[in-house]
Amino acid sequence: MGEKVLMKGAEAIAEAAIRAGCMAFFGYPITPQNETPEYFSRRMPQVGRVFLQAESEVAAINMVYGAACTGTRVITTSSSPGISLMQEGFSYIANSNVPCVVVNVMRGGPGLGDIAPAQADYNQATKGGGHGDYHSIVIAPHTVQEAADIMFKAFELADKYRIMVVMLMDGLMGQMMEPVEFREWVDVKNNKVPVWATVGQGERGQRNIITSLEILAEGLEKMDIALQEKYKEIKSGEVCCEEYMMDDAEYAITAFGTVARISKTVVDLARERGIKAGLIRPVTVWPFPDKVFEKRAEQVKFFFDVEMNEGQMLLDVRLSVNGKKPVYYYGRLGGIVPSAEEMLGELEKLAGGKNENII
Amino acid sequence: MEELEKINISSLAGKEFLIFGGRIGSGKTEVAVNLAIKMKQQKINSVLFDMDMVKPYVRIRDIKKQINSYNLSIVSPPDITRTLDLPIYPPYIIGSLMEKGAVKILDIGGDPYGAGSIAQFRNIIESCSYNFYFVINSKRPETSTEDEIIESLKAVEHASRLKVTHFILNTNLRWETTGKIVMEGYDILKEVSGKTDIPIAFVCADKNHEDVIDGVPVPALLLELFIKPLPELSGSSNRKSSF
Repeated sequence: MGEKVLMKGAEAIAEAAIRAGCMAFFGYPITPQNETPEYFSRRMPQVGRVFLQAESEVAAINMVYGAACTGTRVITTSSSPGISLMQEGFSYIANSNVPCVVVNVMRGGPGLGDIAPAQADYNQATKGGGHGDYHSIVIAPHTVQEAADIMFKAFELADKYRIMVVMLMDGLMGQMMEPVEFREWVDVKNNKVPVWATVGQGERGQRNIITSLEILAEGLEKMDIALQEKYKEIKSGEVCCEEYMMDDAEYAITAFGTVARISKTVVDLARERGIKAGLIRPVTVWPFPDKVFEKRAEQVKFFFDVEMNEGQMLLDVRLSVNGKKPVYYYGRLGGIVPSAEEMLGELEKLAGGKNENII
Repeated sequence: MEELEKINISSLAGKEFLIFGGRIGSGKTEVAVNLAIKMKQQKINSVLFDMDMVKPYVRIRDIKKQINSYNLSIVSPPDITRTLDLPIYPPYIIGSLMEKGAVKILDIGGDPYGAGSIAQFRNIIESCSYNFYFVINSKRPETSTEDEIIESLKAVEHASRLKVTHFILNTNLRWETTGKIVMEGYDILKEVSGKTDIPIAFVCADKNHEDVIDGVPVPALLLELFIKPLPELSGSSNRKSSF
């Protein structure tokens, strides 16, 4: 670990990606994540790597696709409307089995929406977004330090499974400044070109072909089954979840990212008032930590899911709890961040047995 | 602890414009807002200008509720633009900048991008008296060494077409700030000050942790912090390393 510096989330993920051995950035500007490409634009030339502003998000993701086919560590960052434009590329990347990292700094939607922080792209990120039976690994950090740490892990997972890894953040995580220290640089001089990469035939004696196309249905079914096998392996080995004050909790708040961050304060405030609350925070939102919810359903009186969307992770929580206990929801839309006090108020009403605002 | 030498607020009021610039995230807004509050408390006629056209959040227009009770005179872009990507000044800004009799405190956007947007008002500013304060947090990227600070200073001066007159030392790691960290920042900035002939006007600290600037030999400005978008977390819950 090095010296601590004060960084915005948007800057820290860029610095972390560079240290993790990211050799190329392709992207197109959009608020509220412009500090990230701006940071890359200064730093990448300093370390002899590639920064390229594409003519659009569609072009950017296809450049990422191309670079990923060579086994190069590559990244793009964008925000909700820009991520929507990239969905076709995501789907092609998935069925081509190539590794890359994508950061979505979510803002208010749908459509052009606004530039305030939101979490309304959860379904898009975890359930596909593009066409076809595919998934990406989706990670939702809740502090600047965690985002910096996880960026290294994101590239490792991408390479290990030849998959796209999404860092699901929001505008607030991007803009807020916190002390952060970085892991040691990954030594890129020792990088080996993967055997599957399309970098010329070399001494292998045959061409590598990377494609998402298979004309015969039987052949495509085999490709699809292989993808599903890969997803099963990821589900069994790469789930990550933090539990905060859950050992003796009677009520479990469930939240990810920025809201999870606020929820820790809510748990502390609730406990000061004698309400035994805890927090279950999925760090990977795909694969979803369903086993944790199954286990805690035996213990808690209810789950209280809070999100900056209309209840998107709520469905995964309900599936995992499987009717064993009530799952309530509270959320704000359009880019409004719920305050700790308002969340506490809702929790208090629920724990007291009545809350007319909650569905 | 020795009694801190506080800055003399009324002496700052000798200039018609007080401009706060620097790297993005250096603390310009906190300093500008706190000075405006102190002037208000001392019944010095001042107007606070929100001229940040760079950041999408945590600008003066985003903390109006928190500072509402101080009854500051604020000139800021229309509220409708707060969550839109529209970097526009209000139409009456030139009239407000030309108004005589009040100290005009300008919180400009970070980096050359932010500084560049005030170059259009250069004629108004240069025809009056002004101090241009360059706020430095040496724990931020791009201003952590003497060379980086000087490069950053030149870029902001070039973009704004104005000369920086003073440095403000605002080295901090938020809740992890220590006296040692601030003193290291002071040592770096003192060297820069010597090379550029630009004096350090004052050092800043959170008013609840003023001990961190103990021994720094420049006047102090103690800050009430308004920009806290999320609650702070303690060290252990800040990090999740088991993944």
